[in-house]
Amino acid sequence: MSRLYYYARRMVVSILLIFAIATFLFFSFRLMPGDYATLLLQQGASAEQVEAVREAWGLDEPLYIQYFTWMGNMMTGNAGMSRQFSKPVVDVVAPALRNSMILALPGVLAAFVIGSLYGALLGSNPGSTLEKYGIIPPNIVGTTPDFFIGILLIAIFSMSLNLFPSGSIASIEVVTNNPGWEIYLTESFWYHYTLPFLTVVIKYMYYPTLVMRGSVVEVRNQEFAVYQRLLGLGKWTRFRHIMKHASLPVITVLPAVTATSISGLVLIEIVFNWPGIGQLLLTSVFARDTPVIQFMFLLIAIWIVVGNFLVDIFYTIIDPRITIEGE
Amino acid sequence: MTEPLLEVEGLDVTYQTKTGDLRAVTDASLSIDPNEYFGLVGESGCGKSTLAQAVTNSLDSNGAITEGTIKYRGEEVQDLSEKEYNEKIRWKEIAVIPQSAMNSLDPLSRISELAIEVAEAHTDWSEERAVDELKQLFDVVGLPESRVHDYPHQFSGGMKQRAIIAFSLLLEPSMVIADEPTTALDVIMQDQFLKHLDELREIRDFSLLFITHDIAVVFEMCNSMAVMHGGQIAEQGTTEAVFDEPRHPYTILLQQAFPDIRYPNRELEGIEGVPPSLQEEVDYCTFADRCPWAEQECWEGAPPLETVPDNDDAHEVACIRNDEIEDLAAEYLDERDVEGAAAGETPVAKGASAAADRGDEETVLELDGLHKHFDQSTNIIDSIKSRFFGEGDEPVRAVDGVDLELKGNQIQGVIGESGCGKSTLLQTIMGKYSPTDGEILFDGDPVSEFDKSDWKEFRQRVQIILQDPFNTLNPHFTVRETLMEPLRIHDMERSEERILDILEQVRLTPAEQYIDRSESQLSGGEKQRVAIARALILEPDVILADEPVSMLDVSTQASVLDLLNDLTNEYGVSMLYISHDLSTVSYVCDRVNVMYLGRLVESAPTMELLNGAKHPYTRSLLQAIPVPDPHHEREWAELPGTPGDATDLPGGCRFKDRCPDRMDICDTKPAYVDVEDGDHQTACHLHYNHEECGEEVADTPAAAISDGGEPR
Repeated sequence: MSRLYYYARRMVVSILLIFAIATFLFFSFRLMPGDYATLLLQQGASAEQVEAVREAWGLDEPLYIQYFTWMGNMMTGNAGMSRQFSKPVVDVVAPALRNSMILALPGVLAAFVIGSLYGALLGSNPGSTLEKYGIIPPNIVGTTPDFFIGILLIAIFSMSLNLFPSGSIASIEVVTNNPGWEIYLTESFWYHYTLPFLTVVIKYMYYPTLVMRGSVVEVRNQEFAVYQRLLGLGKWTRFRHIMKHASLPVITVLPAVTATSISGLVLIEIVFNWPGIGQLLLTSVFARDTPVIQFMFLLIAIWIVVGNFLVDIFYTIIDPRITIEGE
Repeated sequence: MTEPLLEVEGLDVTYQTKTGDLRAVTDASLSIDPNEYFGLVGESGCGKSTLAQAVTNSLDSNGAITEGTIKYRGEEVQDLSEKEYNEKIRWKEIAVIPQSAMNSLDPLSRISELAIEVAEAHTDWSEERAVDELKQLFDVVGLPESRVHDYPHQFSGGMKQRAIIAFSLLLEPSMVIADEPTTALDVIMQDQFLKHLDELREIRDFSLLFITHDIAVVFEMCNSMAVMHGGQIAEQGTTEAVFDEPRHPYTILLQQAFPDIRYPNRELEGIEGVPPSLQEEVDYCTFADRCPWAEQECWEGAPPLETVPDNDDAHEVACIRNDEIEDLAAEYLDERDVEGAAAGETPVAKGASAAADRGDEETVLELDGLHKHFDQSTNIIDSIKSRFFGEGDEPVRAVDGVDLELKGNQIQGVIGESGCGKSTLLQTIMGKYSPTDGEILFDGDPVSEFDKSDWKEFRQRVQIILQDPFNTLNPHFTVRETLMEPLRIHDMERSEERILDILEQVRLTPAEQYIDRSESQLSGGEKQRVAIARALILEPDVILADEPVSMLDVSTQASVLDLLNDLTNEYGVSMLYISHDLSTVSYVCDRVNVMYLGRLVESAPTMELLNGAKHPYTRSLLQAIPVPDPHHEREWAELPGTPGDATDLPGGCRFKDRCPDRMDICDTKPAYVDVEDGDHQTACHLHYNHEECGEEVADTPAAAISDGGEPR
């Protein structure tokens, strides 16, 4: 089996998976009691008005017809209208997603790079004082709620030292003057960016540290690593070999962690008053804005699936055994 | 006299552990000449690997050389820092063959990359030169040059083994240290490994320090040897001298404990006891506690290594009674034989008499055309493909049509290389897998129709002993709990006497001392005895044993084999004994079945199989067993390649690609076990009566397949 066939097969599986998730999402949302029309009812609308809304939105159609309509719309990039903002869902989600991604992705990536290196450093010196005590800070951070780290950073760098602002994405004038992408180019944005970014890095660093440490300890004791020591290979050559093996489990969890971080930023975003996807999700749930929620869930699911697909491809580049095992 | 290449003098190595200092090697001296093959033998924990690590500057960080010198070409090297050692000695002068060649190559790098890295670390070679040198060595060890750029997983086990040998010679060292290189190999692979090592002598100049627990391999391969016990060298000299005139009791008893395929009837005598704990100061002979000839004097001061006055100048022994030991040993062994005969303990001549005795017993366990296939694919697309379109991968035919009849009170062996399906066979009988086809009959009842209570009874009457004694017992249980549990499960009488009784039976005496020990307080051999007791306490009819002694030291191996032999006789239990090692199988079994690629290819009473093996595969297996005798010139078993692929079986006879006697008919007609010569069955076209079958046979065997590239 060639490498290309393997990629094609993985791709087909990924696409099937996305369809399955979308279907599951659709039906599980329909299974939930109450829809937007019932919410109107609670707000004092009459029965006729509710019926009219149902009819207008197609909620009186049989479920399978609703399903095909929805699927068709999704595939053509039409995610419907947000009920709370009366704007297309895509227009509502896009800026929030952008704000979150620019916080989460670089943050998590930096956390993984720094965390892995720190973990490898601990794992390479088993039994040393560094290893014994060096593992304590990531353990503490890992068990601390993320908002607490945020609050702590604000208390130190914003309140006491007055180095950084305590919240928002940029100063008011900048936000109103730059509605689109341009805001990321302003100095004010990066000034506001520092503290939330640090929070994300600190919060997500502990996991790769712990995994990498265990992984390096294990790989160091594998027979090939012992043999390489006997061969007298240089320290850095051996470290490179070990890292190649030890990084596999860390890379495996990377897409999942980035995905959960995007949705898990809620508290950090609230602490820093960051207009991201977490805030949007929260308000949408309270407003029963199903189209927005559904669309965001789907995006997160797609990101996980695509991320895993990328990891699988990356694996075949590091580990030559993978495609062969499919033979 | 030439100057020795390596000289170790009065070496002490100490490990610092939490419970105190461990003196792993005490006052060890040896010297190895250029181009000499030197064997270092001893049981696990005797300090032989530590000695090698001291020489290669690779002791664990808690270990250190506390005294003595290591001279390489007359220059002291024991105090070199790792950096200095790397620059001067490592790989350019002393290279290493590690224990497990299978896993010693980084699976994520090409083999040529490693050669480049080694060259980079120790020489100023260009990358091309490093690869070229490796290519030349691949040629020397019989691997195709074109495959230097492969990844390790593209090599078979035997090829990796050879690649590791090639690596050890990459920088043309004067000395190679091989640390238990054959321990994890089956007998055929061991034979191939030894053959390559032996042939290299002719091509390259280097000395070899061969570390092993297998005294037979040393007698075959080496010119000189040393025997270690309890961290000290007990005896050393040329292999001939040590073999012909052993002067240390340990050497003598070790030879007695080692099975020799030429004499399957000889009784094996294990060495009781264990070496003293090296955490204490040992100022007496380390073997005194286990020695049948120990005197008061042996406990007063460690014996020095003394030169033995015979025709070998280098023959030295550390035993104060070495001058009289020959007579003592002869007397002792004679006496033991007489005693044994009187007590009726002389071993039954396997096969010849025993099978006749047991021939009319009822059949307990019968396998009728047993098949166990495994699906290869586990992913969803493949299973849909095979279910709806009928196009799937071929299954792995691990067990592919095995017929076998185990009679009451009979011990049958199943032997074959790794991967021949023997373990799957055992696990299918156990009920771990349900058979793909065929039937297991227990007491004449088909297992497939068992209900829950039948299964429970089956689980009581069929017991298993596993290979690895170190993981077979629950570490949280004491011996009492381990033995009580099966009784509780099967609702049998639970009494202290019963447990004490069974412990006595497996010779864990005094039983009162053992009953409350936990797993960690038992040695490997004792653990395996407890496992045997656990199997026997339920009074089973059948015991399934999966290589029960392969992980034990030779001295323990013999006594456990002996125990199995006696107990099965005494309890009237049948046993199916699985192993790759014909020499231990022949020691316990009445009848031996040879398995190849999922099928039995030969089945005969033990003695008959040893004396008149008919199938070419059996002959190779017999040929591959090292003989513990330096005077015996064994021919290498010419069995090229590895067992075929159980997913892609060749048409005709399964063995044909490796068979030295291949004929035309082998390509077209499969060979089944239906050639009967009384009790002796063979699945080989050489032995069919082709006239009866009405077949025309070309009577010239095709040329043997050359040992070439071994396609994966």
